Amino acid sequence: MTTSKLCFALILAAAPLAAADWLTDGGNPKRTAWQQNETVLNKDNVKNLKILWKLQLDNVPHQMHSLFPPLIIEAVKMPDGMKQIAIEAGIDDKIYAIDVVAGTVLWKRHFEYPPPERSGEPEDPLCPTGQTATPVIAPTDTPGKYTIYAMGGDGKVHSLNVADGEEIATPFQFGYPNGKSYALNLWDDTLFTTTSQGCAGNPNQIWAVNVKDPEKKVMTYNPGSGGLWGRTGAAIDSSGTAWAPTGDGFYDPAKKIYGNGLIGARVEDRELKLIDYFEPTNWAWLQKRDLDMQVTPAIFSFKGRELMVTGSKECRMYLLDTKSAGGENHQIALDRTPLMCNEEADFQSAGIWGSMASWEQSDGTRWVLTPFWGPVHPKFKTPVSYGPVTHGAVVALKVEEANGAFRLKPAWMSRDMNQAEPPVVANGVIFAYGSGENTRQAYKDKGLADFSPLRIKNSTHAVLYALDSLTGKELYSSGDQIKSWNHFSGLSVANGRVYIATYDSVLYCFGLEGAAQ
Amino acid sequence: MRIYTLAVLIACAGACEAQIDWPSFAGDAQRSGWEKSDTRITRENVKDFELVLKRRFVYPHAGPRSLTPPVVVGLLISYRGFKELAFVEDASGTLWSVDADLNRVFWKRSLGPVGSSCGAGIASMPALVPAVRFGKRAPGGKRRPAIPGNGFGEVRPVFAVSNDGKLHKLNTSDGSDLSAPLDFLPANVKPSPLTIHDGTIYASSAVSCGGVGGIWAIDLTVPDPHVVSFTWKGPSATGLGGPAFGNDGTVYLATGPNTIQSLTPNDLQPKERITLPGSASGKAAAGLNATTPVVVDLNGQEFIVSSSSDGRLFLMDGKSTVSETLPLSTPGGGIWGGLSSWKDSAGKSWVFAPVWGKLNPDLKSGKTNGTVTNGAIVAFTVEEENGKPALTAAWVSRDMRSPVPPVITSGAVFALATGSPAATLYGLDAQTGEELYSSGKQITAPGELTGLSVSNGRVYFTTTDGTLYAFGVHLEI
Repeated sequence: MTTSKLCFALILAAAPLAAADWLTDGGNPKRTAWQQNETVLNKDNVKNLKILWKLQLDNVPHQMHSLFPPLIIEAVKMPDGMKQIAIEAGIDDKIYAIDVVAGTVLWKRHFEYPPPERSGEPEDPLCPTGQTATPVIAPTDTPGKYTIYAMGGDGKVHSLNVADGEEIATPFQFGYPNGKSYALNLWDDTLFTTTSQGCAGNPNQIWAVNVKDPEKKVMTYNPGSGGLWGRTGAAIDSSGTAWAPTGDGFYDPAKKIYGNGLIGARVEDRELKLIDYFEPTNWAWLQKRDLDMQVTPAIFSFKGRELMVTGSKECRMYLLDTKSAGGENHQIALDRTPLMCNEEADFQSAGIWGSMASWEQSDGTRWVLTPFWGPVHPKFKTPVSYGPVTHGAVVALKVEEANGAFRLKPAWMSRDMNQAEPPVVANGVIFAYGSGENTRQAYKDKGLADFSPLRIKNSTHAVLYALDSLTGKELYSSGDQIKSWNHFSGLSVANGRVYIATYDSVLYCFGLEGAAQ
Repeated sequence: MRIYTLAVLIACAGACEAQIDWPSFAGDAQRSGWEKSDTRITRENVKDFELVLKRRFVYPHAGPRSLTPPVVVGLLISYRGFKELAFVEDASGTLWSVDADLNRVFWKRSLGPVGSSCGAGIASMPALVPAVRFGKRAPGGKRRPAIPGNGFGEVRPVFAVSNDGKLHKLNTSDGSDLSAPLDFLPANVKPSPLTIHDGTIYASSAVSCGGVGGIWAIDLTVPDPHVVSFTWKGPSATGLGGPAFGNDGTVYLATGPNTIQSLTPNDLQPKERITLPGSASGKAAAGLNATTPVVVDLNGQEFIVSSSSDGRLFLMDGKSTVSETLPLSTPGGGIWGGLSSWKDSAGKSWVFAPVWGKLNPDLKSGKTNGTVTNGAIVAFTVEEENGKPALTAAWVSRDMRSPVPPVITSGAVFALATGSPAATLYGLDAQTGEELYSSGKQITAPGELTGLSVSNGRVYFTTTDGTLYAFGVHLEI
């Protein structure tokens, strides 16, 4: 045993072994992407991250989609004892259970169904066929036993036993076939998803179903917009209200049209009802330039209130109160940042895409983080930054309150990242990555040509970074170790391991040799 | 995030706003000046208009038409994002592309040498491929292939002419050549605005520089485009916009005082020559009473309206005059540049005339809006009288100095008084002429040989100091 390994072993011996799970996309229903139970990785040791294993899976990419962020259960009761398992979902309607210690597949399921009558257009990256939603995992009343809820491309939800992948209930219809559902979320036995882009001619709306309802009544709310395409679907606040950005569209509340906004819907009396919404005052500009509100919010507590942050391709962040998003007229945020990027007001390759993150420092300081694509706005300044940002970065802000007024105060901006993706926070470390994806949709000589083959050909490779959560300083970079890129995927972190999946259907597990739990 | 797949078009059906183009002078080939689809401007919000764009261009020549009025691409999905672009050409032969929302130059392109003293100082308004063909196709008419450039997400060309007479087809995304320049006009003519209709591009010129007057056309749908022309010598009066086009593509052009020549589309073969009964009742100032015709639909039948040298308006059926008005002004004044037309929600057709000078006291209108001493917009309805259509004066606007042909949208008429010391933009109620808006003293130079463009909540024009203005509905950015 080397000295360092001995060191880690001693640390592990002294550290409490709290279970760190990652049961849903974004880490929890509020989508904070904060792994609160990480004890292995820290600011001092992440510089030693290595690829512990990488696993080639037989998932077949559809358009640009491939693998989704894995879900992690720290202790699953298996016939041969307790195992830590990663559940990896693939666009090809596959689910894999992976022994994270060995880096091997324990079981695999493939959802099979007749080809749906309707599907997206060939080469359209917006509307891939297959399983498009990251599953969600629920504990059961039996310790060590968990249920996976996963939705196949036919729109049916499967309830699988994590230990063996067996169906533990009859699959039930939730969404439309090839309807492009986004990450499932689970709150008080109610499963939520969102749909977008009208894929296969299907409606764009929030969906809910109670998994314990014998009738499996599907409840929906349709905001009349171009699509609810927040990367991690809806975030759910403490009242059970599901908040989802509505994507491109108009705002006409008299006609119940809430495009380019953020809506909150809750199940009441077996119906999914609109509870509240927020609409930026410049929604018409967002609509005109296709600068969609499409960022899944992160919801958190701060000074006795439940707040949330969201954003758009325009590249502003909004701070909102879940009890009254936008105030009386639904258009006044608690705070709105200046433009952080996207001076050009471009609909592609610029702006905030995906989701956000939030964590609380031990002294009570509340942080929020956003990724963005493209060059930083020349007028946006942070107290700390790390060189020119031309391809994207992560920005960290503090939430502050004075005399009842809330604000988002920029703290740091990371180094340049090639299409920075939503970060994950764990034990004082920010894990972030540049996806390496080619996000260009329009060209001088081709006009609008958003075709998967063209973008795949011009994509490069992802790079994983670890940053100091207080300063943004780079602590680790994977350099060119990751060989492919990804599209609309994400990170998962638990028990000393950081997971990232790539387009070539490879799942990478980064960690510290000998240290991961 | 939008692409032109079926799926996304379905999604867009509920979410994507159609952005409107202004592809040529007066907005269409009929020269109506009527923007039919603007959803941002309403009669009610005209009073709230603001100065939303002001950009002065670096240019070597001040004076009339030192900068053309813009053509506007309402939505270009460019490699730098969704753009609304206004294109203006300056007298030095530089075409400018301006991001109309952000008031930034998107690109500029010099199209060649400054012309001779004869042609210098007069830029030609560029043209876009119009969004749709208008009107009905002639019975049995052969459908012509469309030229690319107006489909959702397509590479869109903008056409411009340089002082050497070359026609340039440029990529609206970056100003690069989409094809080699074509021989189009004689060098150093003073061309009218370019117009594309049914796949053919046209420009005309009054007789100038000791040369000939003419109209030139290139069929852009054929593999080997070449220019055709119809020319004349002698007195010439083509109006501010050049030709107007009938539903069947017939070209109507004022080729001289009291002369309207119709030509076949694409190959410019002469059809009819209508001589208006001019009068020696007074002498108009230079350039007055030489109007670009306007094509008006009346219950499905097409009529042409133009002016005679003495300032009367004539309504024609394409072969002969049908009815006429009194002269609109007193001697010395007249109608300037062109006419505009509109059909209201009740289906009634209107014609608007920009008049310079004092109005003819014998011209009776239903409503006036104050004393007119310098000029006004005079509105007419097209009514049936004795079994034939006639122009009936409906209202006269407030006094305004040297107005250009107005534009109409959403029940409002926008008129630009161009006279010194500075131009003023007015918004008027299209039914009554009542003033809804005045730009006051916000404009700091006069306009001359300019025109109005309207699209997506903005009304544009240029002034003699080389400045592009837009007034419109506030868009929070």
